[in-house]
Amino acid sequence: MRPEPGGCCCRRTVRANGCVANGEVRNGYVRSSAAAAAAAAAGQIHHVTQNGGLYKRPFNEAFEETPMLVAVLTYVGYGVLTLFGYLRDFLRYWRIEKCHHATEREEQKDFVSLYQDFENFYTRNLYMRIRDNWNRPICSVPGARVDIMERQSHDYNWSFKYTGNIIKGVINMGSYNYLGFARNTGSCQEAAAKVLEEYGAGVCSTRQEIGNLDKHEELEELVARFLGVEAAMAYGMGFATNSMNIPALVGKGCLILSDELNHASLVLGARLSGATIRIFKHNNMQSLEKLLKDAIVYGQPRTRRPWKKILILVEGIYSMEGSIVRLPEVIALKKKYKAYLYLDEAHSIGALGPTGRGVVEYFGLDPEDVDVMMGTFTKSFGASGGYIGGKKELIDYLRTHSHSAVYATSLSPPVVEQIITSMKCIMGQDGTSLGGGWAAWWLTPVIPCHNQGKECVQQLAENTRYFRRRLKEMGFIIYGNEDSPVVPLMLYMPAKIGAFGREMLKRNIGVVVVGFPATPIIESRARFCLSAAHTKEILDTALKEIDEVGDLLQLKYSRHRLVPLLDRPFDETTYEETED
Amino acid sequence: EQWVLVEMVQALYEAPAYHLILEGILILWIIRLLFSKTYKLQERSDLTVKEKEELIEEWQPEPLVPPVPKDHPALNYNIVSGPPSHKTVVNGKECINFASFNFLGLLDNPRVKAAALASLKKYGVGTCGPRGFYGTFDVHLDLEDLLAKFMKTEEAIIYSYGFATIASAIPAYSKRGDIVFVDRAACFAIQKGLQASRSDIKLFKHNDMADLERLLKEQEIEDQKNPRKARVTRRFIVVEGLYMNTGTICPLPELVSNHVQL
Repeated sequence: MRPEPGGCCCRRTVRANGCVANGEVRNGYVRSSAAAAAAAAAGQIHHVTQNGGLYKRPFNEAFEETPMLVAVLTYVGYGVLTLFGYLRDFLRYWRIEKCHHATEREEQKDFVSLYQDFENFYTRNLYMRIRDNWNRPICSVPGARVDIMERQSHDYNWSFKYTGNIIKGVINMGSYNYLGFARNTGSCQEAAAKVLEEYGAGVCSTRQEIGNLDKHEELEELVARFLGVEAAMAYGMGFATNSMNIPALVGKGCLILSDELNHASLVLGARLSGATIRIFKHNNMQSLEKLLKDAIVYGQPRTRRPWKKILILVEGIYSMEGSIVRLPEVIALKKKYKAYLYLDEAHSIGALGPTGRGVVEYFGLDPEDVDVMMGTFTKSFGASGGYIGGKKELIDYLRTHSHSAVYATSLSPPVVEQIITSMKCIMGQDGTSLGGGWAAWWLTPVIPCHNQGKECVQQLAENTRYFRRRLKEMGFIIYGNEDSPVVPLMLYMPAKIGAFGREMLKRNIGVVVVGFPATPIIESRARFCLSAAHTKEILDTALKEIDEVGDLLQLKYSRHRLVPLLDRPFDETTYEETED
Repeated sequence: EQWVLVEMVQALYEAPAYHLILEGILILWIIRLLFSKTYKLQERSDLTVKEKEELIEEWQPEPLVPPVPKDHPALNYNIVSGPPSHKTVVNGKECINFASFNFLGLLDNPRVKAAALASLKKYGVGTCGPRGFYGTFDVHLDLEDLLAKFMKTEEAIIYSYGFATIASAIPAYSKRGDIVFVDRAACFAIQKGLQASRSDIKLFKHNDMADLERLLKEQEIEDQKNPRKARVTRRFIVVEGLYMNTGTICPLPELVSNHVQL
């Protein structure tokens, strides 16, 4: 049976031996055709299957539509909060209520105020109420479990006092620790300690002056080998990698096509470059193609001169949505229209792909097709900094013209050593190999897998599928691709943002909740970041608590109930079964 | 009085010739306008699909990066092996280090290294998250308190990258429409911050307080012309303590008295 491109491929099929198949196994879900068809009609799951052979594996991404009642209630909630906000502002103005927020000094009272009242309305009246869910201070290594410092507020979150208690062993579902390299013991830490003794804690100079250590050269050569590109260059901060290198690549007269939901660093880099920016809808290839066509045919606005170059900015995994970029289609478009591709793999490097090489390996594509491969070392390697990889001409140009190489300090030596050790671990070059198998995965005690680099990647993939499947079975609305370790769980209503964060902390689980302005105003969410350090027990505990809190706060909005599959480990034969 | 047809025909006969001719021309003109095609203000020549495809085929972009000559001075970096302290090994040769910003020599201070080692043993290397999402450690808070005491201010905030500090702080306060007075020799990070903030930038000569006063007085005159706008425009002066580009120190006492006065 050939699936229709872009359509739902659940039909009743008659097999060769005459019996009728009434459903399919697809990625571990048993979904009956009728239910799926009804679900597709009602909930608009965007389910792209084999699209002309570009995708070697099923690409399952779903963004379930907001239920109407929930949307209305969310707006009503924000309306009530706004009214109360105006009331409180009124009371503060007339000094009936004590004013806690920052005010100018007496000598500067006649200056123009630093903060416009209206700009900060949201911060003063909405964010302050639930501020205790963010900036939670921790005092241990941010691994699978973390110790949070307890703090109290007696004036409704305007100021915090530390009680001195420490909440120990909180399950950490908020840190970007995809492969479990956030550890304070083990070979990575020992190597970093040795280098700290030898080289000191910092470099105190820029790359082009005297800040280029032999360690940096070693790191760049290793990164290039890891990614499969000709050369690479490392920078001190992931955010700054984008904001300082995009201006070096494009300038006035060039066109940047950037995804709707790109990260602030990409947006800042694009703005600082001075090029024209056009935005295409999130992960929507038709929108991108239309923009490309119009750009080449009509040229620059008003003068109609042709564009000097076109740069497409996409991310590997979008951290707020959990969606993965449609890389095969983007590369096909880029080749057809001769544009350049800048891929930001901040979250996907180390987390996707059978050996952790990122989204390019996940789709089975050639790294040479991507012109600029950018990524960060913060998330999967447990360090800090960013890198850019590509052809030798590109890296030579960046070595001479990048703002970071000229003006900003280079990476600190212990951090470089941590990256080198963790990368070697993932590549399997420290002498370890695939081992353990399924028994190890099920029976492993609570020690994050460390010296088995490749196993970490596989364990992360396992954890991802298991966690997402269980949450969907419980009835939550989960956004994003099934393979992405970033799991956004929709909350929608403003009150539930605060309630979810606090309830989960009471049950000893630390989660990240996000609202406006990081997300659209009605789509606030809780975002779980899975890690290879999470064992099955930790995940089960977390899932149990999420289930409880979901029932308590009525968060189970999803209208598509999926039949729970018997718990069985993932193996390649799952794909074979669909090739009927 | 009623219009009588006969009287109308009589009036037609009695009208002068030029009047009749003029009216006739006007009527013919109206008929022509009624039957002619509608007039579009901008003739958009819509391209056919084939023409568009040809344009797409023809278009050649510039190469992503221009080629860099092999002897570019900044291409091959000096390789430093070993710690960059006051004596350092560059490209295999031992040199006295006059190049790094190691003013107090704390780079190889044993106390600093011991503290860093202790923290490494406790927290690992990375923070695995931004400050908002479990990336705030107790040591960050301690450092901020210490900094506030050290600088004798109410509070302090730390950033993980030196360049990003001023480049993020400026656009946080100064928005489009605000005015910033900057020294000409300000460092690159400040320039990027100003560019990101989209404010009006007024440059004054390096360390020249008279020039700054001139600019401030000009601004005052502008304010008097348009008081409503002046009431919502914020003004900032950005100077460096020790200029990276020229090595001079800014004249802070004069600057402060200037600033308070206006």
